[in-house]
Amino acid sequence: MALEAKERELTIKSSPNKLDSGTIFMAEQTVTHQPKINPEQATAARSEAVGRLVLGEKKTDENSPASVLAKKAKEAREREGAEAGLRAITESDEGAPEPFKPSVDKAKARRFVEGSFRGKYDSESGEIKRDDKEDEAYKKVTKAKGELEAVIEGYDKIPEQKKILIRERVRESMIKDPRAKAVIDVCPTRHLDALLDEYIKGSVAEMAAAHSRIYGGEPITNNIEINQAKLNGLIEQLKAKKDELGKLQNTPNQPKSTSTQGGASQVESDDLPKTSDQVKIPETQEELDELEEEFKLAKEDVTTWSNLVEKGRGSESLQDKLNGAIARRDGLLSRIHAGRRKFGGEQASGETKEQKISRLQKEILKLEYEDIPIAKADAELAGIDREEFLGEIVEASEGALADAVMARFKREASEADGRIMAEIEKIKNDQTSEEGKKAVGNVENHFKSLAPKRTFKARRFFSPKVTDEYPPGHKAILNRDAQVMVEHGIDVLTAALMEGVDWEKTNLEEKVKELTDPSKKDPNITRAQEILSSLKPEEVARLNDSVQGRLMDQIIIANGGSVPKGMESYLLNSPEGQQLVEKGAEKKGLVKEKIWPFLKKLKGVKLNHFLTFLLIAGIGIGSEAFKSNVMS
Amino acid sequence: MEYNKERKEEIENKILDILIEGLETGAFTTQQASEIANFVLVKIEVVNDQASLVNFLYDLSSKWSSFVNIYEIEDGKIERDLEQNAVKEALDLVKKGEIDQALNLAKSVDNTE
Repeated sequence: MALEAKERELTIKSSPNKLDSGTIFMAEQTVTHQPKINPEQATAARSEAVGRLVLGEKKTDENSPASVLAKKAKEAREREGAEAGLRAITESDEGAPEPFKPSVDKAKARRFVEGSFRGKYDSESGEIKRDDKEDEAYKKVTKAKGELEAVIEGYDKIPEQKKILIRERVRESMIKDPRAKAVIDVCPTRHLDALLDEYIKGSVAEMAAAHSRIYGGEPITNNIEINQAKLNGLIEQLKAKKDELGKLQNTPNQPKSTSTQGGASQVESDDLPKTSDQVKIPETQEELDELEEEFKLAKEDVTTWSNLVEKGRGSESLQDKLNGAIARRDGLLSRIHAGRRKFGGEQASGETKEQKISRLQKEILKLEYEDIPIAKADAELAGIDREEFLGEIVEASEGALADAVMARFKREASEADGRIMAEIEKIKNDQTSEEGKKAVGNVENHFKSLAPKRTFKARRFFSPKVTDEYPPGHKAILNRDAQVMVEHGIDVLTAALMEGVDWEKTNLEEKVKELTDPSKKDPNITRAQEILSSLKPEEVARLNDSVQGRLMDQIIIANGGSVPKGMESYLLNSPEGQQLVEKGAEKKGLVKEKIWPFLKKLKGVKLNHFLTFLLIAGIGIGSEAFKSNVMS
Repeated sequence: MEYNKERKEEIENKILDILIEGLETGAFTTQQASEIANFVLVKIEVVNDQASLVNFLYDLSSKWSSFVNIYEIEDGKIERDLEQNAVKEALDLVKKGEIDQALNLAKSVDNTE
């Protein structure tokens, strides 16, 4: 999954044929942030993006698997309905990608992970050696283990009822903080679960990494490439060492310096005493050199006594002498090994074949049972999609989780504000005109006064997940309130008009001027209606409130401050208006959904306009309320 | 707005339209389309009203931005219903001469999410 996911991600980002609202928003940004529009650049970007999104110009080969599947879905829909069409797609011959099946021994990987928490992973036995003195730490680790298990299992697989309980627990904790409470209070219900899930997931992953660090293991990095590269490197090392060992073991041995009689030990044995506290490690290189010389002599002694023992045929005194010589030789060798490690001369040219074999064997063991399982575990965990990093949160850890979530929230809230301000600053610096800079400056001042409610809404645009999916253009549209940055109007209108205007045939700036020219009443209205009516549903839906609101405001302003005739019915949603709209929509082949943005506009309309609609609609002119509001 | 079998079919059709177009234009691979279709078939089964429909569409559009338009439209329908009711009530109030109440109602419409 690690590599497949990465490849998929890279493919998505680089694919030019993907339905990519990103390019459209990028073009929006070009317009929104640059009052001096370069029509050619915008034309090219816009035409290409709209063409891809709306016209679907680039068609795949009819015989390609995708086209075949599309046809299959259509046929299934015609026969049995939309659900059948969807099912036909799920039954694609190509099938879903094979789920990632890690080659790592999961049991070993988990033991390693446990080992990070519980104590020491013993590479020789493959077991965890628990330190009985750290009972308290072990209890914490048990809890942490549960959390890490959760990381591995997957939060999304938790039954919904359990998730509801977890979210409630977290929410109860969060509302103790006034700032968090403000966010939660104003968060739309339909978004609250997602918000809490986001905090929970992030916190669990952080906790897992933190625990890993606290208890001695390395933090699990999510960097797939780093982990995979590390693992590959270790596997290469292992192979090289095994090859080297094989070559050494296959070459003729040096004459054995020991006899086979009773108790004789083999120099080549891998049972050489380990460096331990009882081995006297040479203090200096000179001492090491002396030991090397003594070793040579000790080897000769062993040879001599071995020969004598053979000739002596069982003499106890000779055997004792031989045993003593062997012990001395082995002792010296241990000290020499220790000295070589100390002075970095393990692989010095002075290393004997036996020593080299022994060293390689130990290194191979370490790689096979310690380094590589660790790296495989890291690679496996890093390869898991972030969403799967979460999981079943055991009862015992809910309290700790709530605390962790709060800590995360507080940190993120501060960071979010900082990021947002930095983003605004960047946008301001990108402005080429004083007017643009001033517009953004207004936003900056406005944002500084935003309540936590706005921070939450703005923050949603800056969370990593959102910013991955929403290109820079959207970052500028922080929220409805922050859209004051488009008070200077022309940028937004331009963006709005770009949705429906035939780019290649018109000059956008001229169209904007035409629309907003107060001396041209009816043409403004007609043209505005034409433009808005020509938008496809998906384009209309993507116009934000302020864009629609501003466009309508301009129409009203152009009409001398009153609702243009013919528009009231739309805005007031009278039955007659609805019928007219629907008839008009039917005539033009438009769908009903195109009309609702007009109604949505009511939200963003200033009060005086709203009241104007009501009163001009025939209720009464002359009321004090009307005068005071219209005149304000 | 009522959620019923016809609405479910309507939403599924809209999603399927985007999937088919995406396959034909190369925007989706067969694997992606399969993954999306699977997601939809599983999640839409638990939808039982407009609010949960919007939640489902929000999840869908969060994962795959091609569906953000469907989400926004359906999301807007909830708001439209609220606004329609508010407009009707405000009109009635104004007709009766209760301007202040109409203003208050208009303010509440203006300030809601």
